[in-house]
Amino acid sequence: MKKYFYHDIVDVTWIEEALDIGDLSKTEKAELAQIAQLHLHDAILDVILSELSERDKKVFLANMHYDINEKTWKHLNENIDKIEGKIIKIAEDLKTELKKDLADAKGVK
Amino acid sequence: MSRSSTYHFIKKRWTNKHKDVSRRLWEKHKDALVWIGEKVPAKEKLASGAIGALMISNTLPGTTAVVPNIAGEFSKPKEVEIHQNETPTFVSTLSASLPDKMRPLSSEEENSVAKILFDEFKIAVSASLDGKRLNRSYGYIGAEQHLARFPGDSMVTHLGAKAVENKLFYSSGMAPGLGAWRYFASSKNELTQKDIEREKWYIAVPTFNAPGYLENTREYSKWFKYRKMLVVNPKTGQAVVVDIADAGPAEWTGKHLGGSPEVMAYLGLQHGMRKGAVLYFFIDDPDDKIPLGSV
Repeated sequence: MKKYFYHDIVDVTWIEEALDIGDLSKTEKAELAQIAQLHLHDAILDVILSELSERDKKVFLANMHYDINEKTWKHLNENIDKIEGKIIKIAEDLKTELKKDLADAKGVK
Repeated sequence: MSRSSTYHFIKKRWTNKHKDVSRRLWEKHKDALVWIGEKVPAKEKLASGAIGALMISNTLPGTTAVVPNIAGEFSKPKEVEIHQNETPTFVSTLSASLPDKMRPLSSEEENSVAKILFDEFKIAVSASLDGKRLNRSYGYIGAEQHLARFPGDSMVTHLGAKAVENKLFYSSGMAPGLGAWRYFASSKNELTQKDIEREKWYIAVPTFNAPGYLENTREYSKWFKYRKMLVVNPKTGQAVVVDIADAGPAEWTGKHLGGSPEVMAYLGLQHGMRKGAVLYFFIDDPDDKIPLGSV
């Protein structure tokens, strides 16, 4: 998956490390990692879009699409209070949740 | 747990969770997501970018039936036209601030657009100035002809030997009547460079439809005469500083303002129907420091 502006503050290397549970093939790990990253992506988009006006949603999506990270951050910081903290929180919450799922998988017979 | 069951257990749980998040995302923000999808060419969406990720996320096994059929939504993508001198952000930001269908902008929209234009061009603009405004600030511009600048002005004297070779400018011809304020100069000898620039970069706007015009005709006519405006093609970002030198066009023409052949060319609207959507905002330039022409 490509690098997005939020990767400046959100570490996603834990996904592949967490999936290194021994009994998954390389292909299976890659597929699960992709699902996790897309989940994270959609969750972050939802957090951001939920705090923007209809016009600013479009501005944000356009900035993100064109990979203008500096403008994306500037626009977000001007329009959403403590946006970095909100992105980090949703990413951490998701990390905890998905790691719990992996722990559950180990317990399934 | 067997290797296969571990994989299927995680996949099923994560896919279901992602499906819920994706569904909520689309339910809550469908308009904006469809909008960006329409602005981005299909090949770009599939290759990279946020929309690419969204499309991939909605084509994962087990998720296709849950979220809207994005491929269908984006079946007729439109290219975002970017002028080579403009950043994608300016054009896309401007585009996001405008209605999908042509209509007059609200005061809020006009203020928003004015800020975007200032950020890009560093020229202070507004839809109203000194308590005066036109009937709209966003409309269709159509091609006008050259205006006679002095008695006896012709296409040859107008364009000069070199410019006559430019078929586009020459073929536009001279308007049969005079501009709203008649000649720019009393004679050829009195024609100044400023007069030449004013005719070259003129627009015609329906001053007669401006709020308050009929009650204060003399005052408004004087105020509108050669008033500078910034005209911007929101599809390309091309912009030109112009002056008001004629009144029109009539409402039945389907156009909201007219531009000289040079103005149309610099807006990228010189071909085909010679018509297109533009923004036109007043420039506050009391000391006459901002030159007419392309920006």
